[in-house]
Amino acid sequence: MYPTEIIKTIIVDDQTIIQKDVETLVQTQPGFIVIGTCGTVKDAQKLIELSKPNLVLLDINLEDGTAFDLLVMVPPEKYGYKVIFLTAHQEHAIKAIKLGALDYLLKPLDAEELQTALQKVSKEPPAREDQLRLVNQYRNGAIPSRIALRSQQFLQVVEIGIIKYCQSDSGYTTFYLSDGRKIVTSYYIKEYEEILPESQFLRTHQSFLVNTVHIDRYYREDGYILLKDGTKIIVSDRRKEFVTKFLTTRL
Amino acid sequence: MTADSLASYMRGTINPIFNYNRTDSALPILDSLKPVVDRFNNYQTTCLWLRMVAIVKAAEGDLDSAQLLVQQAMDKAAKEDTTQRELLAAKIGMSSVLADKLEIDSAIEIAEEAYYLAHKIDRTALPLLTIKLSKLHMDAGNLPAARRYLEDGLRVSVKPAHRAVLTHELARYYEKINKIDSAIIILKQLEKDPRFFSPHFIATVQENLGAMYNANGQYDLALEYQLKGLAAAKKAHTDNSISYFNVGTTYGFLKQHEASINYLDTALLLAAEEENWSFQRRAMYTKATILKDIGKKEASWQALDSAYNLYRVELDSSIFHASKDIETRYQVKAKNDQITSLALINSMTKKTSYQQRIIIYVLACCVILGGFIGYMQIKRRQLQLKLKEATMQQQVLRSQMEPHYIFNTIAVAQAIVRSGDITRAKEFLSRFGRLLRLSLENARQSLVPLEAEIKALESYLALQAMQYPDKFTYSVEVYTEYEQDAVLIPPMLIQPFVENAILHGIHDLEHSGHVSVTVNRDNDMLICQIEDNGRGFDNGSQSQHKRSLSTAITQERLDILGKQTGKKADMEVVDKQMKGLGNGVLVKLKIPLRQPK
Repeated sequence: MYPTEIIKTIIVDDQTIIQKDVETLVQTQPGFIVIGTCGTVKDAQKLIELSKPNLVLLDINLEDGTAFDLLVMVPPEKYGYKVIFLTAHQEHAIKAIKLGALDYLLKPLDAEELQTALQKVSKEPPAREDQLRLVNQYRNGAIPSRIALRSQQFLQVVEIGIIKYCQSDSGYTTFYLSDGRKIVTSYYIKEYEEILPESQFLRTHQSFLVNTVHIDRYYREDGYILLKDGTKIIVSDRRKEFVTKFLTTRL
Repeated sequence: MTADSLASYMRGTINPIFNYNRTDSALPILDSLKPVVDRFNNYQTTCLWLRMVAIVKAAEGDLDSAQLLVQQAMDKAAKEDTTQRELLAAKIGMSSVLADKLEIDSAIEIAEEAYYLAHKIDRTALPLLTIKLSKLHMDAGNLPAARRYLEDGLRVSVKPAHRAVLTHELARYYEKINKIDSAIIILKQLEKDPRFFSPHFIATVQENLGAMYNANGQYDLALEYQLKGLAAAKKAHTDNSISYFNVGTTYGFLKQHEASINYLDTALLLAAEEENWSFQRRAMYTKATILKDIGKKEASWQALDSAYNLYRVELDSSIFHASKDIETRYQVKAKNDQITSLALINSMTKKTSYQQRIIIYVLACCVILGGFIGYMQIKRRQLQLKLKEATMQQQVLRSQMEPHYIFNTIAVAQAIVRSGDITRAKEFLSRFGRLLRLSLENARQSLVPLEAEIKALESYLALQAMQYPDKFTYSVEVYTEYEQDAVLIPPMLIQPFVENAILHGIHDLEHSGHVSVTVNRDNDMLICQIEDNGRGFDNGSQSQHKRSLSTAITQERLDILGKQTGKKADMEVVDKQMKGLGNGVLVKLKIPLRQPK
């Protein structure tokens, strides 16, 4: 048997009391050691450059800047570390993180959630540059034109325009793309409804989110939408009114 | 007399005349009504009158005039009729006229418009429209569409008359798709239906049954029904060359030549009366075939010759009709142009007299409006002030209860609990509880007691000190016995500066920082100082941006307060280094106090 690989972890949070708390939680996980804690972008940059961690638990708001500033200075792909964001409540930042399909945990931390997140860490590659670019563009107020989708096997950045529709099935969401590909992700459809441009994506049904660019016709009486490629998308009875309004006023 | 009673009079008098196919006698009545209708100038009666005259014209065969009249009714209805009922009636009329003119496609188009309109405003018109549309589609050869309308019609119709006609059409549909047996079954049911008594309709059903049996080769039965049908038609005075021709043909099939020729002769006579050249030719041709069958060669040849002559007449007459048609069209167009130019002149004269009146109105309005604007300006300024205050309240609410702060504080509480320091955890939670309660209470008011605000501030500072241990110390000094001082201030005026001092002023100092708050009273002004020993203004940094935003909000709130109390509120934020007072930021606030009512 090979010895399990040790995951060297750094914790970055501007409150020392939280640093310590997260440290104790991580230390109890087999295979994880905390090799450093700090509270500023400046210190975190030095620490990463010197100690080459495998994982950084990263609070978004730091004393002298934000977590995203840090990731630009020491790109995770280049330094080979993975990131899990920590945040109390920052809706916009969380949406940005979701758009880039990055990992995050909410404060106050739940010990079990942290454990699940840590167990997944070793299987995943470090955040790529294109993922981070998506996050930063969104944070700067740009309407996203691409989105990162993470399936069990791979991570794919796709143009939002080629998404035909999303279909949910018990916690999983399947993306149907206009080039015929399908991508299954493990987020709820509601989360995508929040981050995809609301002027372009239409929730027609509990299980369907449709890209209006691909809509050909709407059969109101029969309760479905016909896409340009001939796919039929169900419109639920209680959304008919909304769909009519959406299609007549926003397009 | 009202427009309504006029309309119902017209319906009551003229509709029965139409129903008995005596359209010609309707015209004098309609003509006599014209001045009355014109005087009323009511869209309902005018549209009704136009449509009725159109029916008369159509019955006379003057389809172009009929179309023009219906078009006028349609235009008027489109302009003036908000209920759209007259528009619906006009569209139905137009589709009939177009169908009569054999412009089937246009007739279908307008009938379908009417059909959708009827769905919206008057479902009682649906049976009639489904009948019309199924007939039209059948004529156009679009059988699936015809069937759709038939089914729809049978679904929406309750009146026996409508159902009978639809059923009859269904039989025609079956005939077209070559299911003669089904057609026969349906027609037989119709014939026996006791609810339907119109001899004209019975005649049609029976004649059709005859035609079906003929198509099936059952000539005996065909003859029986055709004769019955003819008898019924005679009773209804609707017998024409076609009925006789059909009977004659069937006799021919049954080899009863004499009878056949008799009926065909009658058909020829009637067709000549009707000026129906093509029928005359067909009858003559059939007669020739029969004469040939019984060996009367010469008579047969003569009949054929007449058929040929009739064919020429038919050709000539169709050419004549075409040229006449062009002429009528030209006349219609000329009349149209005349009407348009007349309408134009009318509206021009109306306009000029309007213009003068409008100028007077506008001037009067201007004077009144001027007065109003002055008054509204004063009102608006008062309103704006109120509005601004409301917005500010919301902003305060948001900054006070910021979810991020709450969740973060809970995370810290959790960390303290996990570290096992129960005494500290208890203290932390009780302070947090107090702060939450105070800010929830304070946030709803635009003014709060000074004491409550100071307590909230102390709780906030204590919590921050526990969250950033060893980072800073603090002091809060308030003038003596302020607890007994029943004065009010706006909530959350001081707190943002304290927050700035902690988060932006002293956050990454090498040494421990200090934040001091002093509050004094000078008559009805509250003098507050918030001071730190941090790094002062750090121009251009992100924290500096947040700092200036909260400062701007406070400045605005103070301005409003100043206007409300009539006393000058003031704010001063200085970098101590600039004034040679050491490091850090000093904020001075002058807040006008208000007494509880």
